[in-house]
Amino acid sequence: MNPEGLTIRDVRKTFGAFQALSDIQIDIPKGKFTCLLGPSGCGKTTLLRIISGLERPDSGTVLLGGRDITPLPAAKRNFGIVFQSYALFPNMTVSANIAYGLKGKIPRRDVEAKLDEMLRLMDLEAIRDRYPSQISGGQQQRVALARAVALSPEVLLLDEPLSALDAKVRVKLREELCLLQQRLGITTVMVTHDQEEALTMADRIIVMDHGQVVQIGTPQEVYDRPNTPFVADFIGAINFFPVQEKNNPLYAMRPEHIIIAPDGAEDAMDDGFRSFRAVVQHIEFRGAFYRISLLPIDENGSAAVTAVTVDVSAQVAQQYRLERDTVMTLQLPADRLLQYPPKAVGAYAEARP
Amino acid sequence: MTRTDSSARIDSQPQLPPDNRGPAPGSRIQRTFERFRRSWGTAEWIQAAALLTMLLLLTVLIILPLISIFKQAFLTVDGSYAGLAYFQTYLESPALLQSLQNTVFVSFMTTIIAVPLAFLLAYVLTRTDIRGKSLYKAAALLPLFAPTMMHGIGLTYLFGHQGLISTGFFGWLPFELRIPLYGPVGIIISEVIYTFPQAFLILTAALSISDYRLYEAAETLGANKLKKLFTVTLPSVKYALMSAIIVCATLSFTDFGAPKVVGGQFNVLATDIFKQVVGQQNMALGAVVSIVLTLPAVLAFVIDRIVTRRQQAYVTSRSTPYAVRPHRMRNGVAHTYAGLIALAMLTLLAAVVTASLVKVWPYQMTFSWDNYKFTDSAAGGFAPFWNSLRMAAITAVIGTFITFLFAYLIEHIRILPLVRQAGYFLSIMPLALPGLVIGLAYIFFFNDPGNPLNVIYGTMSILVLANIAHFYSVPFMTATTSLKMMDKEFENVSLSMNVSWLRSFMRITLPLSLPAIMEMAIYFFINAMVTVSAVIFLYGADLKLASVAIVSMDDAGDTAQAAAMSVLIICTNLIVRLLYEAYSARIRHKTVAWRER
Ligand SMILES: Nc1ncnc2c1ncn2[C@@H]1O[C@H](COP(=O)(O)OP(=O)(O)O)[C@@H](O)[C@H]1O
Ligand SMILES: [Mg+2]
Repeated sequence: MNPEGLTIRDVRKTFGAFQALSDIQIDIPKGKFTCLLGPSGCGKTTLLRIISGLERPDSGTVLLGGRDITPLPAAKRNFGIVFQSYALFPNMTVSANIAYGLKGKIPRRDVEAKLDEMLRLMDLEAIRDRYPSQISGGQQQRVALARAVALSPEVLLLDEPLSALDAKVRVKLREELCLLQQRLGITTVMVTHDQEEALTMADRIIVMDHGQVVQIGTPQEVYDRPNTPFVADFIGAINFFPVQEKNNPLYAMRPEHIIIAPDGAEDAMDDGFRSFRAVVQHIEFRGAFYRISLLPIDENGSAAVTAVTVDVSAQVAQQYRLERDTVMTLQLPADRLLQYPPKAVGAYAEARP
Repeated sequence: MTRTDSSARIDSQPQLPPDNRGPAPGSRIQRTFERFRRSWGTAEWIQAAALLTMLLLLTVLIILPLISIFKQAFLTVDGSYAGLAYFQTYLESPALLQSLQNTVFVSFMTTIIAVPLAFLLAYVLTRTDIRGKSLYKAAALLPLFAPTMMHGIGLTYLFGHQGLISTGFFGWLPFELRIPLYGPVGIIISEVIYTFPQAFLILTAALSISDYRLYEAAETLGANKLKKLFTVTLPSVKYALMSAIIVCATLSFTDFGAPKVVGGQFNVLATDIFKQVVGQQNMALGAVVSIVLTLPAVLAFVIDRIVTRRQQAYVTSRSTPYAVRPHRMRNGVAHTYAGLIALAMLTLLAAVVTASLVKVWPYQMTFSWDNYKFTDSAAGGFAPFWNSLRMAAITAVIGTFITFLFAYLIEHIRILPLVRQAGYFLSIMPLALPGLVIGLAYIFFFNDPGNPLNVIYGTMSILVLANIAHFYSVPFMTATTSLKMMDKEFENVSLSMNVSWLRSFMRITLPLSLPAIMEMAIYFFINAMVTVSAVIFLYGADLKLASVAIVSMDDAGDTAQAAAMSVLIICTNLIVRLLYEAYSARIRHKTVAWRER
């Protein structure tokens, strides 16, 4: 239980016969940036809507600072919400949109002051009298954000706020959003299906799949120690090393952790490395690094079917003169090796299409 | 030097001077023509011929008759220019000015009553989850199937001297409920009934596309119900509301049927035209009143066109449909309101049906078919009904054919953009023309001995043509919308007007447009059955129509027979509509699977 932030206990939600959320338990720390991360359709928006009060859970409770707010309608919660497609009022100017929630809540004189403050904060002064259809997607996004935070809400909820923007604007707004959150110190929950977004922005990531929470942790924890094969695969790139025998654990390792060495360098460092030979299949230039896929070779010299992906720096790639059909040795450092119990493997294999 | 070369290459017309001020206008036309000749194949020439024929036909059907009205208003009998003399006569006649004032009053009152009533019903049926919505909707749309005289006749049986309600259920109740029906009150009630379904349809369409995201955004910003109504609902239907207001105002401004039946001594512009033309044979003054009647309608039409375009821009592709939350109290209120409206509509219809089926209302309330024999001289037997049926059927078939063809030409042909724009404009213009004005324009134009087309005067042909011109615009827009929705890929095929074009037209365009085509035919049929304004000047001596018979029977005091004829019309229309619904349910079954790929 966290008496300070948001707490969600035993929340369930069904749509007809479809179980959208099952048994959700989450603690969202006060003043921090939390990301709900998961593939499309896993129930992130539904959970966010339940937190906002726009949707009712079938059972379970939502607590804010220890107070049960489950029965409160959205209008009474003072949460700021930015919708996936912004939902700006098309018949109102930028100013009118931002001032919408302020009017009637605070004295008229203060509305003007607050509005000016928001326009300045979000750098919207130049377009204050335009209509939503007359401004760019990035600007619309900032207006939606300004409208949501104008009332100094206790919690800010964002549903894929950046997904409708093009890549350049998205990266810029990511930074702005983080800065704004830090400046206001507002408890923030952002929904996203983009793992990079979650890793770069969040203080805490909640990974969801099929209406369930699968892992909660800092970006480093979730990236370095994904607790299921699904999380490992969903966040970042990963190699799985299937072992033929049943009841053996599934091993996995991220491409950048695999060490590539010249052929025959098996026993270079004898500290629990697993190593094997592999032949270069494909080299992909990624700017700062190369992503190499290799096919492991067994003792008889025949190649396996599933490739292993390894990330190497440009320097290393040049040093070894990597090209197609070069045979190399791959080493898997024990401290980076991920290991999953066989049950989870079966479950994940079934869940994968 | 270089420039000369390149221009010669582009134009391949070396005989033109290398003049950078451009060629003379004459040679430019020649050049344009040359370009056509080079780039146009047979297909383009056929297309051009089709477009020009269309424009010619629209001109004959709409523009030339309208011009003849202006001729009547501005020229003396011997053909010299009369200037504003007739308009002066008009302005100097206190009676005619009084009618203008009356008409404005009726139109204003009708609008401020009908639009809120229709808005509430549209709101109730789109924003609640009550059951029986389709029944409530059907009841609200009933007046569309009846001639406007029927509303007046129904009102006389309810609120007239011997009305059911005005006499307190023939004295069963201890009190009477008399209203001064004959005059403005009766006209306004009739017009409200007449315009209500039109406003209801416009507002329902707008309310059902509102964007639910905005309601949620408002909700999270702490807005209460009232604030949501004023900041989300009303702005999103603002243009539809204006459109509904314009339609109600125009329809009630120009209607002829209701004032004829319940107007009493209260004159309006539409009855004035009739009196000037039929009663006093004063064609010039009739033409002047027609122009006075049309001007506001044209103005309203222009405003409506602008407004409709704005409304379309309001809807975005990201909109989500309105999600109704359960609420018992609200649903109770909704049921009550929708039920009251349905009750009012059904009571009116029931009064007319009952009156037509009894011996003598209210003295001999025993069942009898006598009123359906139409024996009195004013009625003229059953012939008017058959004439109307025949006219409506022909109008539906020919009207639908022409309308669809024209919409297709305007929508799918790529050449001659100006001709197509002119065609489009002429196609939506009839929306602004009151039926009486079309009728009058048609007599002036086709009754002119100098017009080679005057052979059709007094025949079925002129009735059909007048109806097509009168009701052309709405089916035209239906066809255009349907054609626009069709896959763009088919368009390429149809660009080459050859055998494969014909085949693609018959096998793809036509079947896909079938629902729209049926809708258009029904619209033509029903409106041709109920209309009186355009045809009252045009029917021949041996070609009396049902709607005209209603007017003359009512004039002659045979109200019960007029009621019987109204019942025949509404029954015919309802049967046609129900057959169509059954048919379209089957078609939908087939094409939905097809469309959903
Ligand atoms: N109002 C609703 N009615 C029925 N099903 C819904 C509704 N809202 C969401 N769902 C379903 O619940 C699942 C989760 O939806 P959502 O929370 O929007 O997913 P996400 O935001 O993670 O992509 C989806 O399968 C979706 O189809
Ligand atoms: Mg979502």
